[in-house]
Amino acid sequence: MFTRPYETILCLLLGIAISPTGLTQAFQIQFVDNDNQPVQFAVVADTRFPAVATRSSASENQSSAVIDQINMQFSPMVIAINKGEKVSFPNSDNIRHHVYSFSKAKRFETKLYANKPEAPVLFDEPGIVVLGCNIHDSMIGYIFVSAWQSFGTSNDKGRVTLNSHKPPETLEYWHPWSLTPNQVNRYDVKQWPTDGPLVIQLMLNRPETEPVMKTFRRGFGSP
Amino acid sequence: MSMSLRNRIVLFFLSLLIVSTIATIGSVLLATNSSVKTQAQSKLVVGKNVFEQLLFERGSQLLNAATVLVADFGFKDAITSNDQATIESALINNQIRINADLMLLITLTGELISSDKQTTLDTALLKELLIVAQSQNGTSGIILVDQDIYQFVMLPVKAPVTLAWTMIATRIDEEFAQQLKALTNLDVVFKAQNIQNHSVIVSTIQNLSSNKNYDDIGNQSINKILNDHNEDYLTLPVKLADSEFFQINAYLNTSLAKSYSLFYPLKIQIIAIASITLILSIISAFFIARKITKPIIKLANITKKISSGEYDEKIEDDHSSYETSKLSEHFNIMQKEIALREERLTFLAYNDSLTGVANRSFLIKQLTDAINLKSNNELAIIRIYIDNFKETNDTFGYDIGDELLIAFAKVLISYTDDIKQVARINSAEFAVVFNGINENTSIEKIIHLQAILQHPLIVGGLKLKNHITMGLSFYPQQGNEAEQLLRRSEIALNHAKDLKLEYAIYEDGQDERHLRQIDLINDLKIALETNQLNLHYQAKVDLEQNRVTQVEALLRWTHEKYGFISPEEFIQLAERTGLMPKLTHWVLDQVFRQANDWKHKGLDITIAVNLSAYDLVSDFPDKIESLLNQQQLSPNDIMLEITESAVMNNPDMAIQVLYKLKKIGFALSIDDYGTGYSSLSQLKNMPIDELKIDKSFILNLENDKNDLAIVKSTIELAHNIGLNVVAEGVETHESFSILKRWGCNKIQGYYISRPIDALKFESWLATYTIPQVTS
Repeated sequence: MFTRPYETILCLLLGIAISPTGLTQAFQIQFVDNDNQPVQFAVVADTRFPAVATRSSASENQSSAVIDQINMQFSPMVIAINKGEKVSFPNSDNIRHHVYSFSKAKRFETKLYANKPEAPVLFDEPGIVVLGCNIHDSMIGYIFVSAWQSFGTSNDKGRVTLNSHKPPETLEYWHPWSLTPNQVNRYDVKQWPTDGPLVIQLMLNRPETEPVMKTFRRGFGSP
Repeated sequence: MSMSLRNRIVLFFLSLLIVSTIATIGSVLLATNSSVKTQAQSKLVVGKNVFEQLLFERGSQLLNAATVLVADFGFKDAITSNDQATIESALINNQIRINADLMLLITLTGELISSDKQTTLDTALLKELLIVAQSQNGTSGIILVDQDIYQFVMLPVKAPVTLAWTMIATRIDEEFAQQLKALTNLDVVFKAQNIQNHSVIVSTIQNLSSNKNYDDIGNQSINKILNDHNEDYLTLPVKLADSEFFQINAYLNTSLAKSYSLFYPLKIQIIAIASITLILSIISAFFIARKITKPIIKLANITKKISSGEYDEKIEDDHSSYETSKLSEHFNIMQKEIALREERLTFLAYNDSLTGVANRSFLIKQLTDAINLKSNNELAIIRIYIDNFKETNDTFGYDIGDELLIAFAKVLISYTDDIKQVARINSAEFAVVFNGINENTSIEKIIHLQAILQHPLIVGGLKLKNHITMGLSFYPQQGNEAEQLLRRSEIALNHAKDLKLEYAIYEDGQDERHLRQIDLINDLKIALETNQLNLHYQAKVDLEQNRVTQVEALLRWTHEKYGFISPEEFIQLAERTGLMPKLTHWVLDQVFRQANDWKHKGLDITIAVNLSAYDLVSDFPDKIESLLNQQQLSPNDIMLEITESAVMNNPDMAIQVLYKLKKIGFALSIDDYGTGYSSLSQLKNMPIDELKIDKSFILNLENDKNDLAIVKSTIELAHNIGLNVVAEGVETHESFSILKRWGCNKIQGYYISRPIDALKFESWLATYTIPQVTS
């Protein structure tokens, strides 16, 4: 549901033949929202080179991606990884957390723990994994497990830089607050701009911060 | 029959009270009705608040339970398991856990993932609900699912982003409705209706078979509806859901009948109080009315007595009220006044105001009483006429006349104890009633009374000597009725006056004659107008011409009761009663018509008409002349006969009239010649043409030498002074022969013809031949 299986297979086949060597250029992409403000945590991938399976290549000691838990928040809120990568969930708070995911790409839970869990978690299926903490409902984190070699996450200025020897033709992009947060969007590049970054505008639906109970009571009308 | 005052008062109060009672009861009923309504309305408003609060609390409980449920890690784990069986079992388990009736899992796009039971929820509905829920992280409300009404909560399942939606609902069933009823004391009807107009009803009202009534109710207003079993309910609608898929309303009902029943004791009390008041008021009105009317009835009874002439009943003042006391007092005064006045009126009615003695009416009353009381007693009724009263009045004036009467009355009153009653009957006529005398013993008394009454009286300084005439009648010899006795004494008095006697006693038969005359006088007037009178004609034979030249018209009257009335009698009555001019006019009119008739028939007959002394007045000639002209007759056709005594009564006037008649051209004849006192020298001065020798000289002519001598010399004498002579009463051939031999000009009598009517005369004349005189 989160990815298309035939694309994945295609990418895998191509990835073997074309190695990312030679001269590369930096192609910049700027994410803005409805009000043309920069959008952080937008993930974008170049769909030309499928990711290579990493399970075998990745050593036991290889440093894994990290999502820390600071002030009852996942930090960073969004990371993008290649499929087959591991992510560790250290705990910088002095309280315990119970990190879990019911996402199709990766179902897991790390029971209540403090400091660092026993082992990093392997994400071997491409897709979007939504992270939660069972005892802190407000904690939400996202892991974008990429099916492609080249991808990036926008910084606080909304910028992502993809390195390639020629401009990407088709892009995939995703943001947790998009109107379809479970879906990855496709972007066909007709002509890469020469005078600046490629601007992609996102329609965002910022999450409700109000407690559920309060809104709900209104539903009964009169009193 | 008019209504009695008492009933009127009672009825008045009764109507007043009934009206006020009805008004009171009506206003109380109106007030209680409006109070019932107001209370019911406020009960409904309060009930609505409670209802809504309860619904809210129930929703809150549901929400709390659901909130806990959707946050449960195991629940999230189960529903993300992607195993339908696991998901369903988890839903059922949690539905039982939180005691919900319905539990659904819905995708973010509104598709039903799973349900705890088989439902046919419309996806469109779910999508609509989701739009609302997404915007506010959840929603709640009332919903119609299949055949049930639910209160639901719809919440997102977050892990930690929204994975799916869950709807948790509890059924609004009769149990809930009953619970509401227990809290609000109102009957609750939930009614849901889907697009297909299919209704679902949840109600606390038993046997609610018809719910159509609820359709007509507006949204918020309180309405009165008639439910089943004719029970009135006041209903307040509460809108629960109104979407394009269904409408759900709650109706709060309070039974008016039950509210009204609370006021029954009050109503009964009021009606009871009103009834008791009414009855007490009727009773008191009755008593008050009786108190008012009792003295009135008493007065009415006394008034009845007063009207029958009893004035002695004194009205007792019962001090019941000031007004009745006043009325009683004035009634007593009135009674006395009436008695006094009646006494005065009675005196005036029964007494002569001038002399103070009884009047005629009282005399009759007294006389009647005397006759009735002592029928064996003898009474004398004496009428006394003062002959010189008119003369005294004329000479000395009415004052003296009145004083004379007063003095005369005093003399009568003081005369003797034998006088039972003195009365004044006419201006100069008194009557006295004597006790214990009869016709035989009366003479001495009468003479004595006469002497006393003719004694001179001093009146106004004058010494007057009175002359009296008296008429007497006696009880019981001459009558046993007061009126009769009084009339008979009057007849006696008139008899005495006529004959210039000192006194006269009534003789038997006088009264009958008197009554007959009164009858005749009355009937003569009628006879004149109704042609009961007629004329007969008796022929006169002219001995020189040897033919019938004249007839004498003779008046005949056949009375229906008394038969043939002699002309002497009724002409005398006519003369006395002033009927003569009318009678004469009638006769002349008839005669002239007859004369005219005969003239036209070619008969050469002169008609002789008798004139009365009363006809010899100055205007008579003019009248007869105009009558004559009316019939176009000449005076020669008529001859006028006047009796000797008629002329002698007032010779100057008579002669004057006769001259006038003569001048007109009438031939004049002196009738009944020889019975009066006229002398031939007087006759010489009269303008007459004929003498008619009275029949008393003729009837027995052939046998009486004196008559022969008188008649012979009268004929010669009359001829000598140029008068013709007529003999009437000729009944025999002998007397006829004698008179013819002596040169009597005309003959009249039974020997020629009786008086017969005009038609008979005509036929008689046609065949009559004059008898031949044998020498």
